[in-house]
Amino acid sequence: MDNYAEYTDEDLVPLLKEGHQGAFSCIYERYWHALYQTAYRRLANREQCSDVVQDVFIDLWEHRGNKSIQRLEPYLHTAVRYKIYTLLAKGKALPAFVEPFEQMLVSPFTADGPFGEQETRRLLTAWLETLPRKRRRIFEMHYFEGRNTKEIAEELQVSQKTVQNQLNTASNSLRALLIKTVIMGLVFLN
Amino acid sequence: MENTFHKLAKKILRGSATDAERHFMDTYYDAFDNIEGREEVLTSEEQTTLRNRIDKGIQIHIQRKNTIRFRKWLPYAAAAIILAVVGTWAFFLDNREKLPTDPILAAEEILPGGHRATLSLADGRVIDLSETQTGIVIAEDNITYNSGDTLLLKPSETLMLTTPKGGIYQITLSDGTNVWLNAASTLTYPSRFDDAERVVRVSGEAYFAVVKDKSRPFKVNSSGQTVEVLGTEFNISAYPAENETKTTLVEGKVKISNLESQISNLLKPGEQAVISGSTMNIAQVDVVPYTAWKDGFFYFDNVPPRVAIEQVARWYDLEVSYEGNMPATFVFGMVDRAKPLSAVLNSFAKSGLNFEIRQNGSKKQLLVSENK
Repeated sequence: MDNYAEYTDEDLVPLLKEGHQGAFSCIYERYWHALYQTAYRRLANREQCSDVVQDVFIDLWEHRGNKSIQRLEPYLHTAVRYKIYTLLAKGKALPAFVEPFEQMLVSPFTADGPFGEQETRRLLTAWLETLPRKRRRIFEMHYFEGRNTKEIAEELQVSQKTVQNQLNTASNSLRALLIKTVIMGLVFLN
Repeated sequence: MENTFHKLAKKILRGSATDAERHFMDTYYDAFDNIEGREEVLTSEEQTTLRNRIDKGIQIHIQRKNTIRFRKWLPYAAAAIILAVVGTWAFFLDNREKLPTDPILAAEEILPGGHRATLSLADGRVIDLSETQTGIVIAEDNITYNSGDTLLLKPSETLMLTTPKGGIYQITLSDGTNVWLNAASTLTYPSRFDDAERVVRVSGEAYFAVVKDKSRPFKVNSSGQTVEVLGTEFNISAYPAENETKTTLVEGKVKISNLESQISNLLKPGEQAVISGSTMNIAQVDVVPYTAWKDGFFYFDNVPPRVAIEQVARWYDLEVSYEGNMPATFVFGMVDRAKPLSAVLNSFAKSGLNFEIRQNGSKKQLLVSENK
């Protein structure tokens, strides 16, 4: 096994494609820990992260003939990304993944938020881009202009209840509703 | 919010997500790399355990799907020399200086190893064993050659059988167990086993065919591990230079323990345990490449050239040095160990490897370089 350790990724990829188990083991040695930590940053769950890493390597072996495997490291990290998206798509509860976002919505530009100010702005903007136009405008006014529901309702000429509903429909989950209530509280205090 | 991510992920995987949705999801995913303190803090022990656990899960899954492809390949009664080298990827090996003054030798002149070994006694005596004999038998009160010729009367308690480079020898222990000792190896054993257990020690490589005796387990100690058996056949490769000890089970059942981490595992036939430091990895292997030496062959099953060359060097008593950049090739094939060195090297040279043999004092040196 240690004979492969001298090989670069560029050497290992063609060997892997030919089905050399030693090359595969070397790739595992080289990357399992980094991939595990990449997953752990997002899931904070040893069991789930072990499964993610395991599945990524099983896929790597089974799809070793796949042409898209060129640069190994980015390929493996992308594989982890899609394993995590798959967990989300299956409806798995991934609190560690969701919480920073919720936290950000509650207190976007405070020092104890999970992301820095730049990052928060970037994330909020990216998220707002995914929303329907009217709802996006409500959130923009809410987050970036610091307006309360009453002001927003007046400017957009809709009822205050509509504004509240729009802010609420960002999520249906119980937990998020709770957070929304907190947001509303903040809005009303403004 | 979970619902938001759930919906987004589903759309992305289905391919129906908008650019904005993909962008948000990816941006959010990437943002985790910048949050501090989210990695798991693992002790090196926890890390090893985790590494092994994940690896095992992978191996189990892969082996269920991939039956060993070479299992049925070539009954090695076909003594034809087939040596193919595949692949053309470059890897770097240390540059060593040439010794231009040393005379060049022809590979045809380098003859293979034979039945060579020494027997060391507790009193310090070292006996050169006959090259015309193939093995020795340890009996109650004497040691004979396989032919029946007496070698020694009243042997001491502990004995040591040592093969040099280019030597191989077979020994029948006092319980009837047969051991084949490969080149550059040592077997330490008592002239008589006690009633509780049978313990031997091996350094280098040996093949064991252990006689069944349920009341006295047979134990083989080697670098970093103990193998405990009842009655079985297996190969142990524990060359000090290789940093890992490989145990390949041919039949029966053995219990293998890593002495450093105290991890124990049972091996099933066709499985190989590789011990390195505190780790133990078990994988399904084709046993033939690991045991072919006992039957007089080199069998390389897609091994890196260094691995093959080290085996060859042990058999032809050569010191190896590597020169310059070498093509990273893989060696695949079978070679009769009774042929001169040229038979092996000719086939190697066909695909990117070049060899030169020089006499350096009393030693023969094999220089390996890229074939330009």
